[in-house]
Amino acid sequence: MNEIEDIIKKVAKNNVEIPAKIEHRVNYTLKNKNTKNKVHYIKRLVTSFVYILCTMIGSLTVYAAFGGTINNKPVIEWFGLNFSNNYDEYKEEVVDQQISYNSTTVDLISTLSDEGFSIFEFDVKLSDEDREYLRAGEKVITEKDWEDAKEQYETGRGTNAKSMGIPFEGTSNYKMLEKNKDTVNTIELEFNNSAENHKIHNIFIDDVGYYAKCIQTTNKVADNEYKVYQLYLLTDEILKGKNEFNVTLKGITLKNRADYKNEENETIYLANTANNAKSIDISGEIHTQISKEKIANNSKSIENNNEEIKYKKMTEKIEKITVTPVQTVIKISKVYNDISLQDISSTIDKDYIGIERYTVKDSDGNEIPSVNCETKRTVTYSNGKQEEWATGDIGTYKDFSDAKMETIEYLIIQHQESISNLKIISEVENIKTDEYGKSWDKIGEYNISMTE
Amino acid sequence: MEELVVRAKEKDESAFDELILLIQKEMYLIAKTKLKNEDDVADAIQETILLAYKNLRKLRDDKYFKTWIIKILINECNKIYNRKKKNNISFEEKEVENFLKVEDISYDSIGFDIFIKDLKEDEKLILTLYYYSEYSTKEISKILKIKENTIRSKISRAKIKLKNKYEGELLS
Repeated sequence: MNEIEDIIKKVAKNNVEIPAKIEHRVNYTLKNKNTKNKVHYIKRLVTSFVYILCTMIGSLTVYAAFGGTINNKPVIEWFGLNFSNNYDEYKEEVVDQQISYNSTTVDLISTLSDEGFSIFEFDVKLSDEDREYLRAGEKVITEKDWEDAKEQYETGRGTNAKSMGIPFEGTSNYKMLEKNKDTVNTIELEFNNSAENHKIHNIFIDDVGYYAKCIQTTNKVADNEYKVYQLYLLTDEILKGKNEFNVTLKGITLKNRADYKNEENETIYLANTANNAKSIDISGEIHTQISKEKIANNSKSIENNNEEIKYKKMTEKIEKITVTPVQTVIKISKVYNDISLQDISSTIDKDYIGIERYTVKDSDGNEIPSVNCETKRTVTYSNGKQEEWATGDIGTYKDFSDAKMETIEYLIIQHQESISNLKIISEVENIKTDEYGKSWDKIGEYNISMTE
Repeated sequence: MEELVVRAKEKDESAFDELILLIQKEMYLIAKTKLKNEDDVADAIQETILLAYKNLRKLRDDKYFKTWIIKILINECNKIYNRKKKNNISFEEKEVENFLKVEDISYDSIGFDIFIKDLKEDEKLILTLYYYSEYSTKEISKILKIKENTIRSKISRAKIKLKNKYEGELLS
């Protein structure tokens, strides 16, 4: 044993090579640390978007087979929920909401809003010049990126200045690049890029800014035309019971990004290099009035018999079940009592509760596609002070104990034409089996009669 | 380091930068024990730097700067880790694993992070703090809020695993 002790000590003295990406980020942060909160907020905005995107992409592997269409096009199939024909029936046309940059135009052409989320459909027409600038339709990894990566592979492990120029620096990513060399760029729309007043708002509802969870997908119509579908999770916490509201989208940027749908392995997040990532700021705002009336009139509420699931220091229960023409939305509240920072942040803490997931099944045991998303997280400390944290976040680095954390989560279940019972199985990630959760422990289930 | 902390507290920005650069390798190693993806590691380190810069004046005892910032870092890593969902493992992570399997191993040059890569995350973290950062088991116990005996047994268990793993390679 002493021999291994000596070896560990010796290895600990070896030089540690920091990847260029990390070094760059450290230098960037130090350089910009004083610019108020700008660096922080910009990063958070981007991270939030990427996180949501990754989450949804993650769900694709499970749900892709179910597919879904809008106007017979596989627009939202990777999102995993099937809206079928009801989308067309309930979406509202929007006219005269166009913004432009030279000959490039962005038109909001329709919206659909129900209990869970709102979908904004944009028609984006690119000028030849802007299509070229954005490299839309062109390979994400250029020949030069490829040469750089190859050179790194041949010269051995380690990073150097060149690695900053490729999407995933480090020789170990050579195979990834090779496998995805044909992935092309599509476009995306970013909202409220200006981070006005250092606040993160990606949508304005009745002139009040919110950061609503969102997901976006793009469908290519022609070389110069794309349909962009922006889905916002606009729940009770934001709408506060309103069935009619005005939406403003501003600070709009058109950007290029890898078209995930074309990739062989769709869980990959492939990015353009700093040189190849392009964006165009489009001035102007988009305004539209949204009404949920039509969908609300055709929705029904289902009672749940106050079933609760208790696990360690957490108690969760279903607050509301709404069946709309396009989906079933379940609001779930969770309360974590007498918790400390360690309980919620440290995976080695005995009271730690891992990531939770839900599996939805019909009465025959068939799995129904679903996605879940947290929309509110509040912590009340032992002294009574209350803080609202970003969803899914642990908003402090200070130690605390005897606090109460409350969260609101929405489970969105793919529309079913006819269903008598729903079984929702609640599971938590088993941290011990794998760092990234390869197995799950059941903590309870809800059985809901849908015929009430 | 204490002198730099004093200067940094007096808004000497170069002193703060110097402090971070002094411990950036340590921060990287610690973050790597918890997070596999380089973007996540970069995010955790960035958040830690910003939090430390914003709150440095609140640090009571200057000699505990490194311990303080490591605590922040571990918390930031936990936050990012907790946000991760099943199946959301980037290709980057998988490829790092594949690459390392074919790499020649020599304990004269192997990085500490690579040397311990097959251990469980808590073992990696504890070993990094113990052997690389040279904290005592008592100090680690305070940082991680785990009993000192547990720290000792985890170190011991991790050493057995490393011995078994490298027996035919490094120890021959």
